[in-house]
Amino acid sequence: MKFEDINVGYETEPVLCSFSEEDIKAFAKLSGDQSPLHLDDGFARTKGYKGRLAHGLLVASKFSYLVGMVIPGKDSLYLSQNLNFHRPILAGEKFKVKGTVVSKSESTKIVEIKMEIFDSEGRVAVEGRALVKII
Amino acid sequence: MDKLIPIIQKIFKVSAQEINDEMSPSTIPDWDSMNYLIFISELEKEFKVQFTVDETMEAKNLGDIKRYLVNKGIKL
Repeated sequence: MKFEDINVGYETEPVLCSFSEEDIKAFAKLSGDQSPLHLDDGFARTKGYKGRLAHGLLVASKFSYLVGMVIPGKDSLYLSQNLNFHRPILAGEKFKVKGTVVSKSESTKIVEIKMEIFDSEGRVAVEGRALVKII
Repeated sequence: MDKLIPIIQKIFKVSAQEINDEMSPSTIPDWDSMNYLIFISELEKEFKVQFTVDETMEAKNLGDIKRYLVNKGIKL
């Protein structure tokens, strides 16, 4: 999207996503975070979860998808992203990611996007604010 | 300055004592080009003003930016 076409209040269509156990294993290898909370269903159950959890940053990586592929898309540079993790996403769980434009600056060509991930029951799992520069 | 100081501290990682009108990229390590754009963007949102592209390009230090804000009717 061009800067001129981005309007405050614009919401992306929610995108349905999930991470398989293989995805989580791959991320564990890439990141080095091999906590059993992400790799061992039994361990996760002892901590009160139904099964292994996707890494929070793996889930939040879908925000990168939104920025790079949807809004604004290829003509953008990620400047910052804060994150708050409210609920875990389990391996195989379907979740949705959505972005809403909160503000835009004509002088700097920076767009602020409220990022949200909703779990399979529609509850906010991860949210944060992204600053993206249109290049 | 009540609204301005927390923004400066958050973005440029400086203490209140370090803030002065001469602050600039040459005196503040975290004042890089991207942080500067984020700073301008945050000021626009906080004070509900718009800088021009020329203003963002010409500002040499914090004093210049404060002057632009005052010129836009902001009391600091």
